[in-house]
Formats: sequence, structure tokens, C-alpha cells
Amino acid sequence: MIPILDFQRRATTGPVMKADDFDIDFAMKVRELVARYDIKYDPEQLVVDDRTADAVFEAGVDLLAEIGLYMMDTQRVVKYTREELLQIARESQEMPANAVLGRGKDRMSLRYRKGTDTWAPTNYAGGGGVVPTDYFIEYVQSLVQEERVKGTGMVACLDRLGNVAPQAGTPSEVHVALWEQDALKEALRRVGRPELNLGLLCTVSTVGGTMAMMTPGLREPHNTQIGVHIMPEQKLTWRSLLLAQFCELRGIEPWQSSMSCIGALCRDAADTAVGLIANGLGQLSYAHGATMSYYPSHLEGTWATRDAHWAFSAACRASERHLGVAAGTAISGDKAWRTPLSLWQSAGMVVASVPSGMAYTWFAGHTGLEARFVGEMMDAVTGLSRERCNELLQKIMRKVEALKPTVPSGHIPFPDTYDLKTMKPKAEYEAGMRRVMDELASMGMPLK
Amino acid sequence: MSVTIQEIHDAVWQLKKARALELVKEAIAAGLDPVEVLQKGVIAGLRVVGDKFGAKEYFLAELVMGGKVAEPCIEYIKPFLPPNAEGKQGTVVIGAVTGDLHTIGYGLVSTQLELAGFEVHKLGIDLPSMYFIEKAQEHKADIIGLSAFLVTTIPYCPEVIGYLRDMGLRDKYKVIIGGTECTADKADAMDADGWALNAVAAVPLCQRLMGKDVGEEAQLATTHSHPWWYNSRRN
Repeated sequence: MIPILDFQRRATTGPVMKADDFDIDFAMKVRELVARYDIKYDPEQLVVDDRTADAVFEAGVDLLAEIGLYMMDTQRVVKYTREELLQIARESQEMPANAVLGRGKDRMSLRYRKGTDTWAPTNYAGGGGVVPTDYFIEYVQSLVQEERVKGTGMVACLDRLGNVAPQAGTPSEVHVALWEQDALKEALRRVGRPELNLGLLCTVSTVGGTMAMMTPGLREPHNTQIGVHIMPEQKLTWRSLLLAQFCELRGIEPWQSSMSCIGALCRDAADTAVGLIANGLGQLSYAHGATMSYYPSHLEGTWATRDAHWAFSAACRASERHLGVAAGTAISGDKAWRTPLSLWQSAGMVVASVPSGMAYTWFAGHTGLEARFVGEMMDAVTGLSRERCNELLQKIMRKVEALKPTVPSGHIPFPDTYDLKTMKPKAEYEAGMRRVMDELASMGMPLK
Repeated sequence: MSVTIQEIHDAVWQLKKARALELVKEAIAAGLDPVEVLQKGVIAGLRVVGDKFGAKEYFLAELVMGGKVAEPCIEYIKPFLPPNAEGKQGTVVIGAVTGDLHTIGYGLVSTQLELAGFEVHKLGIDLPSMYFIEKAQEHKADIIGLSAFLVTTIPYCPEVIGYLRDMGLRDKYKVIIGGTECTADKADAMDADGWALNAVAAVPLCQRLMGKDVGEEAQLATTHSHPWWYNSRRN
């Protein structure tokens, strides 16, 4: 573990470098390491084997040790030794994650999980995306009324409250976020789960705004996580360190999130998997958190693809075998939320991630109905062998790839999917989603 | 044997920085037309880099490197060029607005615009709104590019536009926006001049804003469902 002030010292004394030069060093080094460790993306084996997972971990350690992190505020590189990074990994492994969130009967935990464990990942729903005030409460309610949902990992956020937009670093971001917290609490109250964890604080993004929201009765250590992540690729600012320090002092579980882009500085899934591990280790070095979302995305913003599944699996399995964090990701569609395509894409992600050691999932765009179905899928896949998952995943991805070009881009509005008075899914909507579940069962997913 | 334009072109797309500059110096010393050295050697070589990126043979790193290879070559050639011979498409200042730390998106837009012949000044991240205007004035920019990825940082885009309006500068600069949560609807609502879905789409948008003919696409680009959008009321 590197004390935060030691991290600051490195960030203010490390080698001076232009951001462009750092980018080129990063890209060239990750390519070199992928070749050195013989890491190869295989679209037919999306849940990776042990050798690949180990190679991705070693390459990730080397990448961070040889390239470091780029501190954008000082234009210096934060350097590590390989031994330090291995020590950070050992410390994480020796204390497997068990982050308890929520309170009383609404307690939940995010625990380190192996792909072979027979307990299913935590359904850390949320909803994600931008939702208008008109039906914000009902949208959240649709999720938290589901028994399978144990917390709201990444809640939906607002981009406007009346005429006020939440402007970072101004009172308006706090003003809008306060309405959002009240709305979240109201949704929890309606379903009788008042102490449920509210997850990542999204609508405020600055250090000051975040700290302002940490108020008794609103956001507190038992019901919140705060984002402290590194930007892709390997860049950060003082913001991450200040918030990590705040989390440490206040006993808040930091939201660590490792993201890397396929097709940008990383050429492909193999480069991206290595980048995810290096990014994740970088966050552990200063934030010391228990949870880590791994999130590979294509440059154009898609993520429910074979490449992204492979990159996630490689990073998650590397993490499972060498770190003790609870690893998570977003399970969702990437083109048309609240359509059968999004459930098919989610099925692919479930089958790729559960046997890879995913410990929790948050959502983007799903309603409570999909949260329920994704929960059923996670139960079904838990305990299946890697080989069987790979076989099933091929069938699902073929279906996704055939369906995707036929579905127009654009999300179905939530009010078209749920009756906002009864808070039940509309019959036609539910029937469409059930057909996906039936077809998954016929493909061999052992749904109960 | 004297240097050829083709050799410069090849050195640029093959990302041989020192070699490209050396060849440019030799070419100028040997009396080759500086305009040809620039256009058919350096800029055409950069276009190959862009084509290879489009074909997924090159990646963002190569785009960045392409810019780094070309930059000293262009700086060296500039003093030898006759007035207005650079064939510049326009000048853009671009960066991420206050509170926004995302670098890849605006970096990619910058590179695509450079490859298309724009002079691009990358300003950085988390920038005060007034800074964009100061830099636009300093570089005599035509276009101000605002990158905003978060719902909490998008409000800084209309703030820049508001400053321009209140300072009497609104018609002097075109303002474009981009980033995950940015949409044509939002650009329209804040009276921006344009929005693009991605870096590739930013090129015809900026060309259109500079008054270039980009064909029938321009007609479609007034609708919000098109990959790039320009404000037909303002333009």
C-alpha cells in the first residue's frame, strides 16, 4: 500500500512528460507486452483460460511498472517498481473484499468471488443513464421493488431539474443532486426498503459537490460509494486522490472503476485487457478499495461485443487469480435499451462474466423486469464450467450479431414499458422479454 | 540522388519522424516547390495515416504519432511558403470544458481535423469557459470545439456561448460540441453551431461550417438523427 502523501510526492517529482508522448509510450508498451506474454484474443473462447488470465496479470503489472500513471495536473509520471505492485496485489489477495453496504434488513455485501464459486454475483442494479424527473422515482422503484436487487450500484441521473442543469463545481450540481437523493429515498420508502444502499453518487462530479452531498439523512458511509477512478488510459488528476483520501477518512467504500478503450490507444481486446489490469492496480495503489468495476468499451461507445466480453473475462479472471477485489461490470445493452436486443446482449455478458469471477453487476438502461431476468440468468450460469459457458456464449453471440443490425438505434422510454400506477411491466413488454428467456432456455441456459 | 516528394509522403505515413524532417530539409534545399512538399508530401502522407486508421490498420497511437511526425515538417516548410499557400481548411481551438477530464475523445477529434488540413490547437482539459475565448482570439480561430462527457459538464458549453454572445463575439466563431452525453438536440437547444457523433463525423461538420461543399450530406445534417448536425439557422 502506498500512503497517499507518498503518491502525491511521486506525482510532483516524477518525470515531466507531454500527454501525447505518454500516450505513445503507453500504446507501444502494451503492444510489446502482449507480444512478449503471447496474449491472443480468441473470439471462440470468450471466457479465457488460466494461462491467458495469468499472462494478462503479469503484463498489466509490467505495463504499470514500466509506464506509470500520468498526473494531468502536474504533467508528471507517477512511477512504481514491479515489487511495489506485486505487494499491492498480495495485500489485496490476503484481505479478500467484503464491503458491507446498506443497513439493517437492507444490508448487502460485495464480496470477492471466484468464477467457480457456487453463489451468484450480487445484483447491484441501479439503472444508469439519464432519466427525466417526470418518472425518475418510478424508474428507480421498478428496480428496487425486485427482491433480487440488493442495492442500486449506479443510479439513474438527472440532466435537468426544471430550468436548472447540474453544472459541475457550482451550487446547481448540489441542488439537482439533492432532489435526486430525495427521489431515491422516496422510491426506497415506497417499496419498504429505506436503508438500501444508494450506490455511486453520479449527478455531482466535483470534489466539493461530492463532499457537500455527504450529509446525514442523505448520503452516508453506509449507503454510498464515491468514484475515485483513473481515466483511460492511465491518466488522473488530484480529484481522484482527494476523493480517495476523503473516502479513507470517512469510512466510505471508494468506487474503483477500471476502463479501457478498444481501438484507441489499445488496438484490440488483448491490449485492452492488459490496460484494465494496469489501470485497476493503479487505483488500488492509492484508493485501497474493495470493489473494482472492469469496463472495456469500444471507441464508438459499444461494449456488448465479443471483443469486449473477452477483454472483460481476461481482466476479471486475472483479477480473480491475483487480486482480492470484488470485481464487477455493467450488464446492459449498448444500442437499444429496453428492447429484446438489450436482454440478449445482457445474456451474453452474464455468460461471459459469471464464470470469470464477477462478484457484482450494475446496469445501464434496464428496468426492474430485466434486473429480475438478469438475476435468473446469473443463478442459472453460476457453477457452470468454463467450457459449457463458452459453448453457450457462442450461441448467444450469434443471435446477438444477427439481431443487432435489424434493431433501430434508440432507447424505448421507460413509461412505454411499465404501468406507472401499478408499477408492473406492461403485458406486451413482459411477453417480449419472456420470449428471450424461453429461447435462452432452449439454447441450453439452465434457467430454473 | 535528390529527394522525391514520394519519399517524404512515405516517411510520414510510415511514422519515421527524424527521416521525414530530414527529407523535407533536403527537398527545400534542393529547390523543390515548398507547396508540393507540404501538400503532396506531408499532408498526403498524413491522409494515408487517416485512411489506415479508418481501415483499422492504424490506431489512435498512430494518429497521435502522425501529428508528431508532421508538426516539425510543417513548421520547417512554413517560412518558405508563399502567402496563403498552406491550403489550410480553418483554425480550431479545442478542449474539455470545466470539470471534464476526458482526453481521448477530443484528442481523436483534433487528430482527425489535423489530418483533414485544419490547424488545431489542443487546449487541454478542465478549462475555464473564458480560456476558450482567449485562445480563440490568440490563434485567430474559426471554430471553438467544446468536449463535455458528463451531464454536469455539458452546462459549460452554453456558458461559453453565453460569454461569446455577451462580449459581442458570437458571430465571430463557430462553436461545436461533442462527448458521450452531448446530442444534436442539446446542441440545438444551446444554439451551438454544430455537433458530431464521433471524430470522423467532426470533419465534414467543420468543413461545412467553414463554407466548404460537402455534398448532399449537408442537407441531411440539419436533422437531429444524422451523425453530425449543423445549425442551419445560424449558418
